[in-house]
Amino acid sequence: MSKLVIEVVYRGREKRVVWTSDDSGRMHGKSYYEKLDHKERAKFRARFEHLGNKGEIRNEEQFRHEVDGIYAIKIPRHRLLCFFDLRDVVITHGLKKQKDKLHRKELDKARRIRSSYYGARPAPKSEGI
Amino acid sequence: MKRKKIDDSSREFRREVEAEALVMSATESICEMLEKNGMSRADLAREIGRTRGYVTQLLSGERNMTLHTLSDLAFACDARVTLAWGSLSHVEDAPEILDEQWEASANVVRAVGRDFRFNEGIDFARALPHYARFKSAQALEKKNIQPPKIQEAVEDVSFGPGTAA
Repeated sequence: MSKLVIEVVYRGREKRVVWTSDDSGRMHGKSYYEKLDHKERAKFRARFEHLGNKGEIRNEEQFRHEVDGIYAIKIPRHRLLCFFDLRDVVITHGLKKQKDKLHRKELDKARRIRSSYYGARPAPKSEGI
Repeated sequence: MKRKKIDDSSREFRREVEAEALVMSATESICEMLEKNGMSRADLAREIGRTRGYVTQLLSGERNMTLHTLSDLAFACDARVTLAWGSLSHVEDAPEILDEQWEASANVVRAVGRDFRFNEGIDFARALPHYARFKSAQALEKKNIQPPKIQEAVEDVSFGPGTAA
């Protein structure tokens, strides 16, 4: 049976930003974030807070829809991939910036973690706020 | 030499986040103005006499922006930059709260509108007194009495319409 672990990174007025795990319970996004230096983490943190409080980031240089409901939270040289679930922004994993488009294997990894997430999470009580 | 690890809960880390939040606030405002004016990034680059790559670097936060540059960007959008100071509403010892409380407090803050900004977690117990103080300040203002200091909105940078003819 798959084991889903969720951890809240930031609660804002509009959204919650959370780390999620894969089937084994490992939170790839969180591990990636924790390996960055504090200046890089601060950049991500500012984006989490903006997303949490405003519910969106308009600037495509900092937040971009990649494909199929998978988004990238962007800072120079690093990306965290995520998707939206009601009022949650769910972070799947992190990666080093690639030259052109995102590699297919990274998108597949995000999709795989998203499937585990939906497979394991309890049904919402209501359709969010 | 091994560098000191800076923890996410430290004041030093918070200082970095605040700086990044200001950059985000500025770049988001620029994007908003571009959308409003129907301008592309290439248009903006042309207007300020720079390359599109330069504008991309500014918007990604890769290149630091001077106040002069920020003003030039606003001018290109026929706008001017206004600055506002806000108090740090960040609370380092914000307790973990239940989701129900989060939802309830989010509703309270929403009722207040844009007058409060919580940068770190919203606490139901903390939101209500702020709301009460805000309402009493509003009432005093109506009577033309100097209101007590309340939690201020943190709209760090915003573009307003330019006054040039």
